[in-house]
Amino acid sequence: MPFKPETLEGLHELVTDLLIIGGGGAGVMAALHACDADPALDVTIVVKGLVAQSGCTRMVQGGYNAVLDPRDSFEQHFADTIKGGAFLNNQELAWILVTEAPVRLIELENRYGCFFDRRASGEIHQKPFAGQSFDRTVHRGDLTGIEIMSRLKDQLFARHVRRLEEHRALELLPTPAGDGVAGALLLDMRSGDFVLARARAVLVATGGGATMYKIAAPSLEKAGDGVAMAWRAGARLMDMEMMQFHPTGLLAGRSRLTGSVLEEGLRGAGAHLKNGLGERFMARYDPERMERSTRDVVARASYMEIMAGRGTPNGGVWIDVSHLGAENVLRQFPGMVERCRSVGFDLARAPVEVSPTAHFHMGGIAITADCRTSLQGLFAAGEDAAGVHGANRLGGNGVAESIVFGARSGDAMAAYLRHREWPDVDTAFVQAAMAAALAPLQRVRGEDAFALRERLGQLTWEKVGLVRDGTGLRQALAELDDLYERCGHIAVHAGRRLNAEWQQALDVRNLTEVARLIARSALLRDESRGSHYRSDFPQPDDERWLKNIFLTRDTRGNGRTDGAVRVDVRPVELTRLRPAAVAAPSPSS
Amino acid sequence: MSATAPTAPPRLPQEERARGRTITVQVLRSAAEPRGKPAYQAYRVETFPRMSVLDALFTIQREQDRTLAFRYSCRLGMCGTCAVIVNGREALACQTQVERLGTDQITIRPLNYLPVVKDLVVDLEPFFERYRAVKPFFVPREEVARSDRPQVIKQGEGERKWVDPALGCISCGICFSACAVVGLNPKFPGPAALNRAYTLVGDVRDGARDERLAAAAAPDGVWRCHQLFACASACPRHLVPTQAIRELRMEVAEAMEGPLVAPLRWLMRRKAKDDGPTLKDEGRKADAVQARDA
Repeated sequence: MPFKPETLEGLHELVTDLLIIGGGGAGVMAALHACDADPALDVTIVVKGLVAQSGCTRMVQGGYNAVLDPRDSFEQHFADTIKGGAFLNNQELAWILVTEAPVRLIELENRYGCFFDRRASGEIHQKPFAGQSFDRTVHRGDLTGIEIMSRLKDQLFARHVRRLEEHRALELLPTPAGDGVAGALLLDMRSGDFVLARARAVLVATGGGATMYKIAAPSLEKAGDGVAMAWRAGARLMDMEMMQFHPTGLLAGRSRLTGSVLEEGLRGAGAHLKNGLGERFMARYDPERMERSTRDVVARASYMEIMAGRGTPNGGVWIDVSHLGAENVLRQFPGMVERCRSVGFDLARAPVEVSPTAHFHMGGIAITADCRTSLQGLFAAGEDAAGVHGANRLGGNGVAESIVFGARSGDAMAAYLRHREWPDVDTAFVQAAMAAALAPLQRVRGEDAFALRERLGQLTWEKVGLVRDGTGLRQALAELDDLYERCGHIAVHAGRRLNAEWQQALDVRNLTEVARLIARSALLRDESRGSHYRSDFPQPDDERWLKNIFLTRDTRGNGRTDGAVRVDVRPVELTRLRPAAVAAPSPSS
Repeated sequence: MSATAPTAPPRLPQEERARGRTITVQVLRSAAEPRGKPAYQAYRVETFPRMSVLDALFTIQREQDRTLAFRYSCRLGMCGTCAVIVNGREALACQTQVERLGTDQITIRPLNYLPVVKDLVVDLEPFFERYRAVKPFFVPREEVARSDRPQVIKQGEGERKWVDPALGCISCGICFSACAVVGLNPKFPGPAALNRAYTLVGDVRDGARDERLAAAAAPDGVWRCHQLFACASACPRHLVPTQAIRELRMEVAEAMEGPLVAPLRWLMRRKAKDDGPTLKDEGRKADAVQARDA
């Protein structure tokens, strides 16, 4: 049906070839690559905060994994990634990550002007990270993300890219046939106006929903928007149960600083983790690798110590680097030292209390090697996409994924757009989506968005967190369904301009949507693998579960009502590496 | 909790039992109607240990006034989006501990010289508009662009010695707000922009040195700085744009031609001598010593 903007009140229309939702590493790389591949393209970045400043690539501390040293190899990085991911990875995607990471890293330096730390010889310095057989993490001090995102932001100024900052995408626009995407309905958070963005291709790169948990690491504005919208639009999701908890989140009481990550390099450099009794408890969980074990193992071990009553006074464990020498710590980890000092801890000289913190969603939207999703015109990259990391992500592979697949999606979309026509927009859908978004403003009395968010944090932490079991997950599903229902009754104060309460109402709905899918998928996987641990099925079960779980919403009818969930469980395609071929974990060098 | 999952011990962290003080937080709120005057609104807030100014704003928004608007993202001092003026000084809200302000009276207002969107949220576009004036994006020299290897560059030697400490800007706009010249001269690029130009001028990989120097040398460029170090004392990343600007002036002077240049250079060198060695001088001296020792 031809679209008539005048039929919709308070709606601005934007027509753009390529709509990128998300302004972090993946989104900005996609924009740069699409522009460079075809300068005639009209490219728009939509971001809830500020481009290249909000989001999580900016927050990267430790660094970026790339094979640069002749003594290292793609095969080693690949094997580390697959082992780290407990063989659940899409091996072709992981291979792309490994082989393209060095190419993009050099592009960051030679084309965009990033400058990473050097060895004395003048070559790029690479440091050890947990779970890796070679020191391959490239970094700039311990605040690598600032260097990457600042330089990428500079590059945007050299190109014609429309920046819609403090805009959020509310829904992806379905084509009338329901098999594709024709743009997105946006909300200008500053004015409160709607923007109907028609696009020939849409990239979802908003970052994940780890913020649903009570203790969480990501930037605060993230709310699983991309995965929630893609789900509602009918895209195929994958491995939703795989949520990573980082073992060393700072405990800073009621401050929002709580949950922020103390970087992986601390463990790489030899940090000790101790429980409240002063024991290096990793000896009980992974005596060989100890603190340098992978994030899933260390985070779970810490959680179990805390739950067994062997935690610190504030319910955490201690991270201790004082034995490395204060000067050494100050030189290697100035950013971490300052972060701790800002809240009164002396990282260089004394132990600091940390807790596992929700960090990264390995699951998400299923993609092809070209970042295509199951829907025409819809692409995904970065944390919103699934498959690269399997059941657990290695430190240093996250920013590499965003940069590699962001670039890839930009190239792929530019090629795709050479043939893609303007799809039609379903006007009735737009009207319904606007009405749904406005509903909390129109209710006089109703649920409190902030209270629901806190409830969600507690519920997911307890029942969909580091240690799960069938009974708890079934309860969680029922409670999440109830919570989702209550999200439909939120009332917020009037006024559309920068209304944080209204934004919270939209956030909590998306997060609850994603939480339900995590719980559902976690209940299906009755084994333990990587980040997913079931206390009622504590062992991995390769016979039954070397499989990916795909979820799709039945979108027939295109309504906003809850469609049935289609579950599709498929064996992992072990195209390059099989479990038997992997030797016992080797200690990192 | 379910039957099999271990139960969390009652979470009563020691420090949260301590009762906080009650402080007064005054926030400059924008008027509800267009063209209305902004006005301070006072809130009474009970503090908790490690409360940052950002935490205080979240507390007010959650418990007292849902209409309050402020910007944030990472809450770790990395995104640079929560810059405000606290008790008269620019600061990142997330990096400012309430306890360390040493007073029970906190006043928070938006950054200077930027249009207010609502309450503490400003439009940073003018900041970035001026940032763009120095051509802030890296333009690789041809051989760098063609190279498929990272460049071999020794850190802590030569130009890197003075460029590296000047990197790490987070585009928070704090120096812009703290700089009187930015307020007086709408064409002055501002400390962050000139600092960026400086880091690119000193980047041996960059191929647009002349254009950047030309932008810096413009009548409203480096010469407008009054060298008050207001930017440096406010910078949350401990950068010293004033120093960058001073050294950029030297570069500009060295690149200049014409009859007046020689006396100008002489004056600047004399001034530099009075002010003590520059970062770059130190770098060169160190290089010379190393070369001699080797």
